[in-house]
Amino acid sequence: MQPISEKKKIIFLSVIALVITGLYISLCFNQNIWTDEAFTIDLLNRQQTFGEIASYTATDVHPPLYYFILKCFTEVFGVHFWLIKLLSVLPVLLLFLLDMIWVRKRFGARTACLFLLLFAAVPSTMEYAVQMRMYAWCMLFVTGCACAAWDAFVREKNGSFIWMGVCGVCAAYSHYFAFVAILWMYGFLFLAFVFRRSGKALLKWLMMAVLSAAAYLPWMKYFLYQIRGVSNSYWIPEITSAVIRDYFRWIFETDYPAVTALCQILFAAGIIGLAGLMIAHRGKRGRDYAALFSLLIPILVVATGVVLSKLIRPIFIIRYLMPAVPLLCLSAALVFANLSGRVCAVLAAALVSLLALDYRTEYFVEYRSTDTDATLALLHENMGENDIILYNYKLYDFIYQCYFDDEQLVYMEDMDFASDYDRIWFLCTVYNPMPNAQVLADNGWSISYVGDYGIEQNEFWIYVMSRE
Amino acid sequence: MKREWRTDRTKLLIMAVAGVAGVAAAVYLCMSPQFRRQEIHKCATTNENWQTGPLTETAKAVQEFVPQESELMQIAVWVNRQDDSASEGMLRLTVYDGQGVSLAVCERPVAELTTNNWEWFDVGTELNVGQTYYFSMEATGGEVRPTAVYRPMHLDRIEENVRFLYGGEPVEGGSAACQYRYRLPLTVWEGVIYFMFCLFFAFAAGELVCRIVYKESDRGRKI
Repeated sequence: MQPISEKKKIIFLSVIALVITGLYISLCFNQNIWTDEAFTIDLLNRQQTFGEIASYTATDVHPPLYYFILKCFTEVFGVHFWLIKLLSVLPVLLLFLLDMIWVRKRFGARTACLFLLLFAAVPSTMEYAVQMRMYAWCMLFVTGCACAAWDAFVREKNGSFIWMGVCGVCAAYSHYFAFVAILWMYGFLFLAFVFRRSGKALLKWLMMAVLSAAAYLPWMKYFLYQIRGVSNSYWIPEITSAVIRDYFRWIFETDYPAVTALCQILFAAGIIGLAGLMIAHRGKRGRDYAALFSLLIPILVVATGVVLSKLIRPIFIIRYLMPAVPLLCLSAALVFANLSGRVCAVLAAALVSLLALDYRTEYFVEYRSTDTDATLALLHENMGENDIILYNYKLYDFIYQCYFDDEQLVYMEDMDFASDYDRIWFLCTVYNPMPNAQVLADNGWSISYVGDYGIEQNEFWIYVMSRE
Repeated sequence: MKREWRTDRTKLLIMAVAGVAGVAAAVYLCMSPQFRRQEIHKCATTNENWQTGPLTETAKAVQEFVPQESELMQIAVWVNRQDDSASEGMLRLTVYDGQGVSLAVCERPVAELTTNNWEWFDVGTELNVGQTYYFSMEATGGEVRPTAVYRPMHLDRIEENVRFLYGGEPVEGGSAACQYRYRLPLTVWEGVIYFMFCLFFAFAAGELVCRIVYKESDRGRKI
């Protein structure tokens, strides 16, 4: 049988990558956001300059690169939910390109194909590929850095060190647990050169490390400020052994318990398979080390998060592992690609079926899981110029502000019922009581129930108040 | 030549056995109810909660409901032990069909129930989607009896609930604070995934066995 040409392999991989990207793009055209995404929108709406964005981000817990990228993007295209979601699909597409070019060249088309399918089929990745957050960019930077680190290890060429440094700094500027992943990579590379006794490579590594640190200096002031803030208080609950056990489930979590279990078994089999390969090849084969390196990074990110949480206070939540999840997939792909073509084809078919199931679930989450569309339709169709929206849950005001103008929104405690509004649309949550009936009566308002609605995961009942 | 032929035949046999094992595992997964997806239908959270009077053998709280799925596993209710003074006897939850025939009964000691939380009762019964059924709550034994919590129907988002009755009388606009846990039927996609994954695990194991038996190595593969 004639071997398949490289051109055909590239076409085949491109088709898979385009189909998966198409699926991601189809998840972007909706009004559905969650709390952290509302924070992103809020930041964009309120902070006009890059300096303001940096200062505002410093009061939160993340570094600013994603917000800078977003700012550049929205300056050109405007602030639209679907566009911002599409901006998160872009790094995933670049990740696929990295796979088709770098992974295919270094480890073969079979590994590249399995990596694509594993990445797309892991249930958690589809959600984060379309989220208005930094995770998709982090995945690209961390994976790019890992690829460059491998090249630097194997070839010791200057370009690899530069590529690694650039990706590393971008990752560190995007998320602190992407930063942790990068630090481990720098550490591994250093140890590899020490054991190899390669002085020239060590010198290059040192230059890269110094330049990376220098590039991070401008953010250090904010970084230290954030560390102090987080040390004092942070919202993440205590990390117990049950929480740690849950980490492995979370990555593969679906609505289908058996499917989640099968995914866990698949990746556990990958880890066992890697151990088997290392033993079988007596630790002399390069790709086994690449798989080990890819596997260790996510494990060490979790370990670092847990240890830091024990030492300082709980600061790690499992979604902070997302930047390193592609490496987990790469590790599994490197192991499973050792199987024969037919068995790999069966795995590919299993992953495609899993991808279809993930897509169905994610489509529901993005388009059908909340009452946002119905709420917006009701209010946009019925609200007059002199109507306002009254709400009684202060914590959600920045989410409501993503959908309505500031002038339209009034918080319950700031409400003056003597005001001359035509109608008041009241978003009534369970967290606070209804307005005082006597106050309403004194000001001539009558109230009637409209229906059950909601925005994001916040459900409420809408009442309309009018004067007869 | 003969040796190669025998090797291929043995390999084929190992892979065939692996394939059969994979199919068997997939069939087992598809047939096993414990691996099927569950779904909870719950009413909205609201701070408007009301209580019935004490639950007794005659003064029962009854919820008329129309199931949305066919396999009802559990029902959760919210009871009030009246500052823990109700601490003896049993709380019985019974599911009836439209003709009053009892389909499932579950009893739990009142002492182990909490006042401010959901309490699940195993009912495990097959129902017809769209038909009307009832579940009743009654307390047996004990001097002080617990009460059932209910809510305004128009605030609850639960599709199942129709009428709520206490002591045989309808409670106007009331809806029992309850949840229904269903076991969902197997979907085609679940079946496909089970088959593909089980086949993969089986074939991968088969290939591993072949490699061990024949001491094969892929050392020739490029990095």
